[in-house]
Amino acid sequence: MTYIIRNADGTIKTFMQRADDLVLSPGETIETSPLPFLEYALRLFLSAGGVSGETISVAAGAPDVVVDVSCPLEQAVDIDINGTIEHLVLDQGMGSLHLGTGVPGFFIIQPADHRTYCPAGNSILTVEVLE
Amino acid sequence: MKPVEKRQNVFTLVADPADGAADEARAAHADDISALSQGNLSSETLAGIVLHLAQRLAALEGKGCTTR
Repeated sequence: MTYIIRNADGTIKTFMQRADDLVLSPGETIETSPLPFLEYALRLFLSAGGVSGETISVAAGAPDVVVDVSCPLEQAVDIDINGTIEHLVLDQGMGSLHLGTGVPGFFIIQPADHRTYCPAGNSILTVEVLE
Repeated sequence: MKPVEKRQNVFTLVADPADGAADEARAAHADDISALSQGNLSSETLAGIVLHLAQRLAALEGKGCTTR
């Protein structure tokens, strides 16, 4: 079972394996999912080159960065890339996004629907294109 | 955070005209730090550092970091 903490607006703030001594902030709510913690966390898994959950740095002009999107339970998922929403059709729960490295800066890739997926951990990926 | 555009199935950052202004702000902050290291801490310098830290925190929160 997984404990899910929601913000006052219904978006997922975080999720956890245990909720002992948890103190909610005003407006926050808690609910449970029958999924085990790891399975819940892997509902949306973003990675690049096998790396997930940390900032990935590449030099400007390097080959495109391929972000692998795993969302095993879905046929498609909406991904937010710096505020642009991409409707990604999945093949057996897998898809990918290609990021160009021509302009330095940060790509922040996260779920568009924060009520379904928590934008943290392995469900958010930052790619920095260095100058 | 720069916007992106999609071309031929590749997302690319869009160069922001405000980048020049940001570079100037960073340069001004470097001056603040230099003044601080020399013990020359005016209220304007302190205000500049506080503003810079606030901007950094906002940027971190924009990346999904919690700063509380």
